[in-house]
Amino acid sequence: MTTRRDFLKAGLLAGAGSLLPAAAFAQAAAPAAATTTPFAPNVGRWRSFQIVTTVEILKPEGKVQAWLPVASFSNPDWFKPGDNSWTTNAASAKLVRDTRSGAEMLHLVWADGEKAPRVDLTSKATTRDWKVDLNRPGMPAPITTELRTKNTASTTLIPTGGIVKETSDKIVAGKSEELDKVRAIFQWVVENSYRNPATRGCGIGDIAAMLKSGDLGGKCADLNALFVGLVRAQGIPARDVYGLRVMPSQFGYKSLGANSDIVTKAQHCRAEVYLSKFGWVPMDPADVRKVVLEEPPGKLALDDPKVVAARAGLFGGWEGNWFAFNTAHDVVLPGYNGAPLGFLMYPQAVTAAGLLDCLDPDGFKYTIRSSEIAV
Amino acid sequence: MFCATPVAASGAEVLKVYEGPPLAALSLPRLPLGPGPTAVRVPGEGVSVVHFFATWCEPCRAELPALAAMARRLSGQGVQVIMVDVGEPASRVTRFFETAPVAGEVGLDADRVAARAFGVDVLPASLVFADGQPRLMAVGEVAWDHADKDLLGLVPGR
Repeated sequence: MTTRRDFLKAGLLAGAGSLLPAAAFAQAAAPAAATTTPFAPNVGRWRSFQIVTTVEILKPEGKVQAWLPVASFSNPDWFKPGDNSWTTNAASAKLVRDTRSGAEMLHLVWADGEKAPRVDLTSKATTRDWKVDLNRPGMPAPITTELRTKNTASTTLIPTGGIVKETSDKIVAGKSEELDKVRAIFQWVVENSYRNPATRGCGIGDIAAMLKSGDLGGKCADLNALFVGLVRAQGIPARDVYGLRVMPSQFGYKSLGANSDIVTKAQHCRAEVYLSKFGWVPMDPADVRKVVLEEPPGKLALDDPKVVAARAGLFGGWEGNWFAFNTAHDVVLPGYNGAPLGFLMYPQAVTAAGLLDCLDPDGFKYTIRSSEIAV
Repeated sequence: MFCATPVAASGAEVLKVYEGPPLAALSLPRLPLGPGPTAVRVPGEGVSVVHFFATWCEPCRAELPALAAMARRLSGQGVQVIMVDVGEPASRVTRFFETAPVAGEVGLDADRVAARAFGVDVLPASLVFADGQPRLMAVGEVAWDHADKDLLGLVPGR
């Protein structure tokens, strides 16, 4: 075991990974400055990334704990989680799993009196651009009963009955094919929601509240949660995938990528829908609304070519410039008896003063850096 | 009945007669903005305005100055305001009140138990209790500058 002041080095240290030059960001982003090519992701080559999350507790009081999300999601089509390694002065540090939600995280506990709690977590993953050709139905592996149940279930913030079901039924009225239903819901979310730049973080994702208030504004955790809930209300499996943008968009869309190696505030969740003739299909209506709001000159019309391309491309495809953590809802932090989290996308920490504000990375404090690695 | 997405601030609401089921009192952790007990009883004694809000909710932020002014105006006349933050950590709420006006004691409903118990699913929402019974309600931003008559009308002997 470690002594209080020692830095613990643990975890599954990865094999020979080497960082690509920092210029990768500049190189990848270069097309953005010159031109924006139509957004049309296809099946791409596998690329490996690492993210390094550094957490410091600036005002440690009493028992200090922290939980950092790690990749517990995998989809052999486009995302393979890698190893995690860390250095810390915590008394204990171990990878844990919230069994009910499935979220995995690094749980750290510091000794009372530790004056400068700190951890540096390095997580690796391999991913690629992915696209499902929705004009070519096939025979994908059937979804298990367990996965179907989990991905059609209500969660605290994503109920599938009440106003969610009523709204969903209206949207899909007259449609019998699941692809047609899902397409209708995707288009409805794109046309009726909006990205609210004032929303803190990625939003809350309380979709019944959104529908009851009539205000369908928010960010990815709101808009894609709304999409997922409306799809689940039809009995079609859907899931939010919570993660982090790690690289620029190769299509030059600044709004759809990380534009620096510092990705502390680049959290983003996407959605996947399971269609019986196609398997898990990538979908991201929230990013369509992000393109609308943010792509220059801003506040684009839905018929702007950039939006049209994103709207088409994000129904069945996306870029592999993003690191997936989990699809978990109602996450219990092991060792903490406070309220479950709606989702786990940000580092969390608790002191005697209570749960720290994960949306205040400067006060917390944490930073996240990303880089592409060669393996 | 009536979460955590704000009602658009398209116009101030008025307090309406509460017609829902009876609501049982509960206790919430108190945000320690100053000395005091560790818990807040909701509702309070006498006439209490129980106001559900969140720091991210724009109409909630817009409403706060008028709510705080009403609380100051009527504090000696038997009306108190209890604020209930929904679904956020204490650290975030504490930071919020470094710049935002405080209208009364602040209870923390981190797990949304109080919001569910009181049928609140849109923010902001306000319930007015008299002697522990819900009497008035509003969903959305209330014109607190013009609510004195309604509130004082619930104070016994006035």
